[in-house]
Amino acid sequence: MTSRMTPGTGHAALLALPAVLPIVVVLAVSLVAAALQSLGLMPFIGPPQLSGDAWTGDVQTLVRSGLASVYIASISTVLSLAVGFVLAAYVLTMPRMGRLVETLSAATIPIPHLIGAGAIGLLLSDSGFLDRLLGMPDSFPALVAGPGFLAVIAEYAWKESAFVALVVLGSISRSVGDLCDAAATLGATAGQRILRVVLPLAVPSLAISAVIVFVYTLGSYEAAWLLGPVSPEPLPVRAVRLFGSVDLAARPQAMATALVTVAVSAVAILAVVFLLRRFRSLR
Amino acid sequence: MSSSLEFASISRSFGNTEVLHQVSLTVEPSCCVALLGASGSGKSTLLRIAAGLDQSSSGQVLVDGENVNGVPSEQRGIALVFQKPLLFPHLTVVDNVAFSARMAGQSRKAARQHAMSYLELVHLSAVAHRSPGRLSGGQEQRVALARALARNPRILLLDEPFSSLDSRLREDMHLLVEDIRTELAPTIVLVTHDRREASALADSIAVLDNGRILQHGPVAQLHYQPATLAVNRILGGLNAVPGELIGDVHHSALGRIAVQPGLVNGPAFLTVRQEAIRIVAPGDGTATGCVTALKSLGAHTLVHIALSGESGPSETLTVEVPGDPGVAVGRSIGLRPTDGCGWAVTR
Repeated sequence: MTSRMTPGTGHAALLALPAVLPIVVVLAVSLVAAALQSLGLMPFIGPPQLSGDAWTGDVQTLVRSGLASVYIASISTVLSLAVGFVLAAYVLTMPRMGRLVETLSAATIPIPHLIGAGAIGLLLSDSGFLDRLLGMPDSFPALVAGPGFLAVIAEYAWKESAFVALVVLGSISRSVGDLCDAAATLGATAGQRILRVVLPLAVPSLAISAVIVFVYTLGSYEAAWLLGPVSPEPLPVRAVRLFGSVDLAARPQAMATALVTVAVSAVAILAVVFLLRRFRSLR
Repeated sequence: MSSSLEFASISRSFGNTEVLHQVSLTVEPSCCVALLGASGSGKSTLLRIAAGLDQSSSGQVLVDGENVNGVPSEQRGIALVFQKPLLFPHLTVVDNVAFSARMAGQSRKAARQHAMSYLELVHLSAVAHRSPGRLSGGQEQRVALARALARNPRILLLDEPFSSLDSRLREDMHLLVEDIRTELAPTIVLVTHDRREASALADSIAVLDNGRILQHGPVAQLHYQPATLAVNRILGGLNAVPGELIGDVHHSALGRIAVQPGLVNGPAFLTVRQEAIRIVAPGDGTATGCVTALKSLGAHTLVHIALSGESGPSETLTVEVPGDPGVAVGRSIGLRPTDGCGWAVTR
């Protein structure tokens, strides 16, 4: 085994440099700056002074925000994966209607989350479209701005399930048709083909989609701000509010909140990478 | 476990293009029929229709006399080995072979035990727990064959499964199919564009061209008694000498050759195989000619000859001889059909 780089890999690394360098520089600079600001070493005004107040001052609220964000991201991710996989399986098994579903899914992707959140608000709010459709019953649940972040999760699940479906289709659509034909001649029913062939083949793309959806919904601001309750605040809502506060002393707290989001995202990414490696080693 | 398979007037169109036209063919139980034809002749489509992966535009597929049109693929009891092995990448070799048993509801342990016997049949029990990605091309096709057989199919369909293998591996696979036929006697339909493979494996050959079956018969009959010039060409016949048929005798630049009775007098082609003509001394044969080219086929040589007509060289003929033909380009030679008679076709 050798760790030496061959001329080929060195050349490839040089070619990748223009793309990788800006990412590394921006990421490193922003993370270091956020860390320094959260610790009082890069204050907006006044002399630098090391302090952990931004992290420990209101730790309960920070933890509640973190739990709210993880809850929203987890439920949204699970729903997106489930709906996205069903959509992909439908497209693969129903060529004609599937094409329509695929087109609708593709059309969903470019809609901005802000527009999507507005649409979901109009649909699910009190006296919204759905409420009116049902005759405005008294028992209509508080989906928008209510407990459980249901409207936020609905918006994410709608948008991200289309994304998941397209990722899954892109990764397996070329091979899965022939493999399903082979499975059919081996006695597998339509349901068995989906569960025993399509699903296992889709696991890597589902895992990658899952981590992308989780990290995105963890750090996304607009839907949670527009459709979520005032309290508890999800991490990105809290970070933006504190960052935009007239109280400049709140900046370190905003940075600490943002860094917690980054840390949770990093843990999620590493967990999926670890699980994917284990999955591939089993194959 | 063997069943008969019958295609009754099967047609299949894609838009305005008719891929299969009124195809009728019967495969008796435990027999092996090869569907021979060029790419695009419709042979794979016919196999997919038999397997239930495609629907015919008209006609019926009958298994043991029972119409299976509309019966889902998984309920037909017909296994198909594809051109590509199509092993499930998320399963080990043994689990690939155990797939059909698992789908039928058997426990993992029982299905694996069942699968191991088929892996032993294809001499691959040693790689049972490997991932398919770590097998060679030949091993992958053996596993695909074992997987299809483990389904205990009534009929086994082979869709050019050995076409991507090198010649040595292909010969190994042919031996394996012979072993399987001896041991399990399945009804087999083999699709191939390789006439040698068809001849080596099948009891009979059906020649498919442009969606039509031109001829179906025993291997030797198709080689030496082709129904048409197209069958002669598809079976590798290089000679079709034009001439005149007068009273069951074909008159051409190759001389007067007795042919099969029953044909109407008039223009006809003499299809005499290149292996069935002997080079003799000038004057000793039914015709004379001049060697125009020699082409080595390894152990055999193709000798191209310009036949001498009454007004100089008229037709060309090809003779295949083992080893060194002992003639040079430009030399005058005599020619004689080995059994003294030939086969004439009119179209």
